[in-house]
Amino acid sequence: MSSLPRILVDFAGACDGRFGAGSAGYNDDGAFVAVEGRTVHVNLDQNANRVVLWTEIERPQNSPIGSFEHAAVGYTAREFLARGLAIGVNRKADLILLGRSIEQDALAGDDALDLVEEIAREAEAVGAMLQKAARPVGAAAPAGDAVIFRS
Amino acid sequence: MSDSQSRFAEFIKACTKVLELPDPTIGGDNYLFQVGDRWVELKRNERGDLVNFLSAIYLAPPDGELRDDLIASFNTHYLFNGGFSLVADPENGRIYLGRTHRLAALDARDIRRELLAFAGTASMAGTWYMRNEDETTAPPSAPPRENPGSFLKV
Repeated sequence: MSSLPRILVDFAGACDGRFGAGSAGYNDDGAFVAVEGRTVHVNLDQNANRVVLWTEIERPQNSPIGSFEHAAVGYTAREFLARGLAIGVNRKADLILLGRSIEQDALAGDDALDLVEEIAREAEAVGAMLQKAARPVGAAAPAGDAVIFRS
Repeated sequence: MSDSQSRFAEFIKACTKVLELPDPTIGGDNYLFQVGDRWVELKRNERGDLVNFLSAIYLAPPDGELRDDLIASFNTHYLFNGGFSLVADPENGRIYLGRTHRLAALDARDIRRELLAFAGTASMAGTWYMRNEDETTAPPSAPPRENPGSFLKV
Protein backbone atom coordinates (compact mmCIF):
# COMPACT_ATOMS: atom_id res chain seq x y z
CA MET A 1 0.00 0.00 0.00
CA SER A 2 1.34 3.39 -0.95
CA SER A 3 2.15 5.92 1.74
CA LEU A 4 1.50 8.72 -0.73
CA PRO A 5 -1.16 11.29 0.04
CA ARG A 6 -4.47 10.49 -1.56
CA ILE A 7 -4.26 13.68 -3.63
CA LEU A 8 -1.41 12.27 -5.74
CA VAL A 9 -3.11 8.91 -6.25
CA ASP A 10 -6.29 10.68 -7.38
CA PHE A 11 -4.31 12.99 -9.60
CA ALA A 12 -2.58 10.05 -11.30
CA GLY A 13 -6.01 8.54 -11.94
CA ALA A 14 -7.30 11.79 -13.44
CA CYS A 15 -4.22 11.92 -15.68
CA ASP A 16 -5.00 8.44 -16.98
CA GLY A 17 -8.38 9.77 -18.03
CA ARG A 18 -6.94 12.78 -19.87
CA PHE A 19 -3.67 11.50 -21.29
CA GLY A 20 -4.50 7.83 -21.78
CA ALA A 21 -4.63 4.66 -19.71
CA GLY A 22 -1.29 3.89 -18.12
CA SER A 23 0.09 7.36 -18.80
CA ALA A 24 0.45 8.21 -15.12
CA GLY A 25 1.93 6.53 -12.09
CA TYR A 26 3.36 7.30 -8.70
CA ASN A 27 6.14 6.20 -6.43
CA ASP A 28 7.42 7.23 -3.02
CA ASP A 29 8.62 10.59 -4.31
CA GLY A 30 5.55 11.77 -6.18
CA ALA A 31 3.49 11.23 -9.30
CA PHE A 32 4.57 11.32 -12.93
CA VAL A 33 2.69 11.45 -16.18
CA ALA A 34 3.70 10.88 -19.79
CA VAL A 35 2.38 13.59 -22.09
CA GLU A 36 3.28 13.35 -25.76
CA GLY A 37 6.49 11.49 -25.07
CA ARG A 38 7.60 13.73 -22.21
CA THR A 39 7.48 12.99 -18.49
CA VAL A 40 5.97 15.63 -16.25
CA HIS A 41 6.76 15.08 -12.56
CA VAL A 42 4.56 16.10 -9.67
CA ASN A 43 6.22 16.53 -6.29
CA LEU A 44 4.69 17.66 -3.04
CA ASP A 45 6.20 20.65 -1.30
CA GLN A 46 4.84 19.71 2.11
CA ASN A 47 6.11 22.65 4.14
CA ALA A 48 4.48 25.18 1.84
CA ASN A 49 1.29 23.23 1.12
CA ARG A 50 2.17 23.42 -2.55
CA VAL A 51 2.90 21.06 -5.44
CA VAL A 52 5.60 21.36 -8.10
CA LEU A 53 4.86 20.37 -11.69
CA TRP A 54 8.09 20.05 -13.63
CA THR A 55 9.88 18.42 -16.52
CA GLU A 56 13.51 18.07 -17.44
CA ILE A 57 14.79 20.05 -20.40
CA GLU A 58 17.37 18.44 -22.63
CA ARG A 59 20.67 20.23 -22.40
CA PRO A 60 21.81 21.94 -25.60
CA GLN A 61 24.57 19.84 -27.11
CA ASN A 62 28.22 20.84 -27.19
CA SER A 63 27.62 23.96 -25.13
CA PRO A 64 28.74 24.78 -21.61
CA ILE A 65 25.86 24.92 -19.15
CA GLY A 66 26.57 28.59 -18.45
CA SER A 67 26.03 29.58 -22.07
CA PHE A 68 22.25 29.68 -21.90
CA GLU A 69 21.64 30.68 -18.28
CA HIS A 70 21.05 34.28 -19.34
CA ALA A 71 18.25 33.16 -21.64
CA ALA A 72 16.81 30.96 -18.87
CA VAL A 73 16.78 33.88 -16.44
CA GLY A 74 15.17 36.15 -19.06
CA TYR A 75 12.48 33.58 -19.78
CA THR A 76 11.69 33.24 -16.08
CA ALA A 77 11.42 37.01 -15.65
CA ARG A 78 8.74 37.13 -18.35
CA GLU A 79 6.87 33.90 -17.84
CA PHE A 80 6.89 33.75 -14.04
CA LEU A 81 4.84 36.92 -13.93
CA ALA A 82 2.53 35.82 -16.72
CA ARG A 83 2.06 32.11 -15.99
CA GLY A 84 4.11 31.18 -12.92
CA LEU A 85 6.65 29.26 -15.03
CA ALA A 86 10.36 29.16 -14.17
CA ILE A 87 13.46 27.59 -15.68
CA GLY A 88 15.98 26.29 -13.18
CA VAL A 89 19.55 25.44 -14.05
CA ASN A 90 21.71 23.49 -11.64
CA ARG A 91 25.32 23.36 -12.78
CA LYS A 92 26.42 20.82 -10.20
CA ALA A 93 23.70 18.37 -11.09
CA ASP A 94 23.89 19.26 -14.80
CA LEU A 95 20.13 19.67 -14.64
CA ILE A 96 17.80 22.03 -16.50
CA LEU A 97 14.13 22.02 -15.65
CA LEU A 98 10.95 23.87 -16.46
CA GLY A 99 8.40 23.99 -13.68
CA ARG A 100 5.72 25.77 -11.74
CA SER A 101 4.69 25.60 -8.11
CA ILE A 102 0.95 25.68 -7.41
CA GLU A 103 -1.18 25.50 -4.30
CA GLN A 104 -1.87 21.88 -3.36
CA ASP A 105 -5.63 22.33 -3.60
CA ALA A 106 -5.26 23.18 -7.28
CA LEU A 107 -4.20 19.61 -8.01
CA ALA A 108 -7.73 18.34 -7.50
CA GLY A 109 -9.38 19.98 -10.51
CA ASP A 110 -9.33 19.83 -14.30
CA ASP A 111 -7.22 22.97 -14.29
CA ALA A 112 -4.29 20.93 -12.95
CA LEU A 113 -4.40 18.70 -16.02
CA ASP A 114 -4.31 21.81 -18.22
CA LEU A 115 -1.27 23.00 -16.27
CA VAL A 116 0.47 19.65 -16.81
CA GLU A 117 -0.31 19.78 -20.51
CA GLU A 118 1.01 23.31 -20.74
CA ILE A 119 4.32 22.31 -19.08
CA ALA A 120 4.80 19.50 -21.60
CA ARG A 121 3.99 21.73 -24.55
CA GLU A 122 6.05 24.64 -23.29
CA ALA A 123 9.04 22.39 -22.66
CA GLU A 124 9.42 21.86 -26.40
CA ALA A 125 9.56 25.62 -27.01
CA VAL A 126 11.92 26.15 -24.08
CA GLY A 127 14.28 23.42 -25.34
CA ALA A 128 14.44 25.11 -28.74
CA MET A 129 14.91 28.55 -27.17
CA LEU A 130 17.84 27.38 -25.02
CA GLN A 131 19.39 25.55 -27.95
CA LYS A 132 19.30 28.81 -29.90
CA ALA A 133 20.74 30.80 -27.01
CA ALA A 134 23.53 28.31 -26.29
CA ARG A 135 26.90 28.85 -27.88
CA PRO A 136 29.43 26.13 -28.64
CA VAL A 137 32.48 25.71 -26.44
CA GLY A 138 34.91 28.54 -27.15
CA ALA A 139 32.44 30.79 -28.99
CA ALA A 140 31.94 34.43 -28.03
CA ALA A 141 28.98 35.45 -25.86
CA PRO A 142 25.91 36.56 -27.82
CA ALA A 143 24.26 39.91 -27.30
CA GLY A 144 21.89 39.65 -24.32
CA ASP A 145 18.22 38.93 -24.74
CA ALA A 146 15.99 41.85 -24.01
CA VAL A 147 14.01 41.33 -20.84
CA ILE A 148 10.84 43.28 -20.38
CA PHE A 149 9.82 43.22 -16.78
CA ARG A 150 7.92 46.29 -15.74
CA SER A 151 4.76 47.27 -17.55
CA MET B 1 -12.85 48.04 -15.42
CA SER B 2 -12.26 44.53 -16.75
CA ASP B 3 -13.40 41.47 -14.85
CA SER B 4 -9.87 40.41 -13.94
CA GLN B 5 -9.05 43.95 -12.83
CA SER B 6 -12.12 44.22 -10.62
CA ARG B 7 -11.46 40.84 -8.97
CA PHE B 8 -7.91 41.95 -8.18
CA ALA B 9 -9.13 45.32 -6.90
CA GLU B 10 -11.70 43.59 -4.70
CA PHE B 11 -9.04 41.37 -3.19
CA ILE B 12 -6.75 44.32 -2.44
CA LYS B 13 -9.67 46.22 -0.89
CA ALA B 14 -10.41 43.23 1.31
CA CYS B 15 -6.73 43.12 2.33
CA THR B 16 -6.61 46.78 3.31
CA LYS B 17 -9.79 46.30 5.34
CA VAL B 18 -8.25 43.38 7.23
CA LEU B 19 -5.08 45.43 7.80
CA GLU B 20 -7.13 48.44 8.88
CA LEU B 21 -5.56 50.63 6.21
CA PRO B 22 -7.31 53.40 4.25
CA ASP B 23 -9.35 52.45 1.18
CA PRO B 24 -6.90 51.82 -1.65
CA THR B 25 -6.79 53.41 -5.09
CA ILE B 26 -6.00 50.71 -7.60
CA GLY B 27 -5.48 51.98 -11.11
CA GLY B 28 -3.12 49.41 -12.55
CA ASP B 29 -2.33 45.75 -12.20
CA ASN B 30 -0.35 46.09 -8.98
CA TYR B 31 -0.46 47.35 -5.42
CA LEU B 32 2.36 47.91 -2.94
CA PHE B 33 2.41 47.27 0.77
CA GLN B 34 5.19 48.40 3.02
CA VAL B 35 6.20 45.73 5.49
CA GLY B 36 8.77 47.11 7.91
CA ASP B 37 11.49 48.59 5.72
CA ARG B 38 10.55 46.51 2.69
CA TRP B 39 8.05 46.95 -0.14
CA VAL B 40 5.98 43.96 -1.17
CA GLU B 41 4.20 44.31 -4.48
CA LEU B 42 1.11 42.32 -5.38
CA LYS B 43 0.84 42.13 -9.15
CA ARG B 44 -1.80 40.32 -11.15
CA ASN B 45 -1.15 38.68 -14.49
CA GLU B 46 -3.01 39.73 -17.60
CA ARG B 47 -5.59 36.97 -17.36
CA GLY B 48 -6.23 37.86 -13.75
CA ASP B 49 -6.05 34.28 -12.44
CA LEU B 50 -2.63 34.71 -10.81
CA VAL B 51 -1.26 37.18 -8.28
CA ASN B 52 2.48 37.45 -7.80
CA PHE B 53 4.07 38.60 -4.58
CA LEU B 54 7.23 40.51 -5.50
CA SER B 55 9.91 42.29 -3.50
CA ALA B 56 13.22 43.77 -4.58
CA ILE B 57 16.06 41.88 -2.94
CA TYR B 58 19.11 43.21 -4.73
CA LEU B 59 20.33 46.29 -6.56
CA ALA B 60 23.52 45.89 -8.54
CA PRO B 61 26.21 48.56 -8.30
CA PRO B 62 26.60 50.78 -11.39
CA ASP B 63 27.88 48.67 -14.30
CA GLY B 64 27.56 45.60 -12.11
CA GLU B 65 26.04 42.55 -13.77
CA LEU B 66 23.49 40.19 -12.31
CA ARG B 67 24.73 36.66 -11.76
CA ASP B 68 22.60 34.46 -14.02
CA ASP B 69 24.13 31.30 -12.56
CA LEU B 70 23.05 32.22 -9.02
CA ILE B 71 19.56 33.20 -10.14
CA ALA B 72 19.05 30.02 -12.18
CA SER B 73 20.41 27.90 -9.33
CA PHE B 74 18.10 29.57 -6.79
CA ASN B 75 15.18 28.94 -9.13
CA THR B 76 15.91 25.23 -9.23
CA HIS B 77 16.15 24.83 -5.48
CA TYR B 78 13.36 27.09 -4.25
CA LEU B 79 10.83 25.98 -6.84
CA PHE B 80 10.67 22.83 -4.68
CA ASN B 81 11.03 24.67 -1.37
CA GLY B 82 8.18 27.11 -1.11
CA GLY B 83 7.67 27.92 -4.79
CA PHE B 84 9.89 31.01 -4.83
CA SER B 85 11.70 32.35 -7.90
CA LEU B 86 14.14 35.16 -8.50
CA VAL B 87 12.93 37.52 -11.20
CA ALA B 88 15.69 39.51 -12.87
CA ASP B 89 15.42 43.02 -14.25
CA PRO B 90 18.90 43.45 -15.75
CA GLU B 91 18.07 46.80 -17.33
CA ASN B 92 17.69 48.30 -13.88
CA GLY B 93 20.15 45.97 -12.17
CA ARG B 94 17.48 44.65 -9.85
CA ILE B 95 16.45 41.23 -8.69
CA TYR B 96 13.04 40.53 -7.18
CA LEU B 97 11.85 37.59 -5.18
CA GLY B 98 8.57 36.30 -6.56
CA ARG B 99 5.92 33.80 -5.55
CA THR B 100 2.82 32.96 -7.54
CA HIS B 101 -0.61 32.42 -6.05
CA ARG B 102 -3.91 31.67 -7.68
CA LEU B 103 -6.15 34.60 -6.86
CA ALA B 104 -8.92 32.12 -6.03
CA ALA B 105 -6.67 30.49 -3.41
CA LEU B 106 -5.78 33.72 -1.60
CA ASP B 107 -7.72 34.67 1.51
CA ALA B 108 -7.56 38.31 2.53
CA ARG B 109 -7.88 37.25 6.17
CA ASP B 110 -4.38 35.73 5.93
CA ILE B 111 -2.78 38.75 4.29
CA ARG B 112 -0.84 40.00 7.30
CA ARG B 113 0.78 36.60 7.83
CA GLU B 114 1.44 36.18 4.09
CA LEU B 115 3.06 39.62 3.77
CA LEU B 116 5.23 39.14 6.85
CA ALA B 117 6.35 35.68 5.77
CA PHE B 118 7.13 36.83 2.24
CA ALA B 119 9.05 39.88 3.46
CA GLY B 120 11.08 37.61 5.74
CA THR B 121 11.89 35.25 2.90
CA ALA B 122 12.81 38.17 0.64
CA SER B 123 15.24 39.41 3.25
CA MET B 124 16.86 35.98 3.47
CA ALA B 125 16.99 35.64 -0.32
CA GLY B 126 18.80 38.97 -0.55
CA THR B 127 21.31 37.86 2.06
CA TRP B 128 21.78 34.57 0.23
CA TYR B 129 22.43 36.29 -3.09
CA MET B 130 24.89 38.80 -1.69
CA ARG B 131 26.74 36.21 0.31
CA ASN B 132 27.11 34.02 -2.77
CA GLU B 133 28.04 36.90 -4.95
CA ASP B 134 30.59 38.01 -2.39
CA GLU B 135 29.33 41.53 -2.81
CA THR B 136 28.88 44.04 0.00
CA THR B 137 26.44 46.50 -1.61
CA ALA B 138 23.38 47.08 0.56
CA PRO B 139 19.95 46.09 -0.79
CA PRO B 140 17.65 48.85 -2.07
CA SER B 141 15.74 50.58 0.69
CA ALA B 142 14.16 53.46 -1.24
CA PRO B 143 10.49 52.94 -2.14
CA PRO B 144 9.63 52.41 -5.79
CA ARG B 145 8.72 55.54 -7.70
CA GLU B 146 5.26 54.45 -8.76
CA ASN B 147 2.09 54.12 -6.68
CA PRO B 148 3.38 54.26 -3.13
CA GLY B 149 0.63 51.98 -1.76
CA SER B 150 -0.06 51.72 1.92
CA PHE B 151 1.97 51.45 5.05
CA LEU B 152 1.54 48.30 7.04
CA LYS B 153 2.61 48.68 10.62
CA VAL B 154 4.39 45.61 11.94
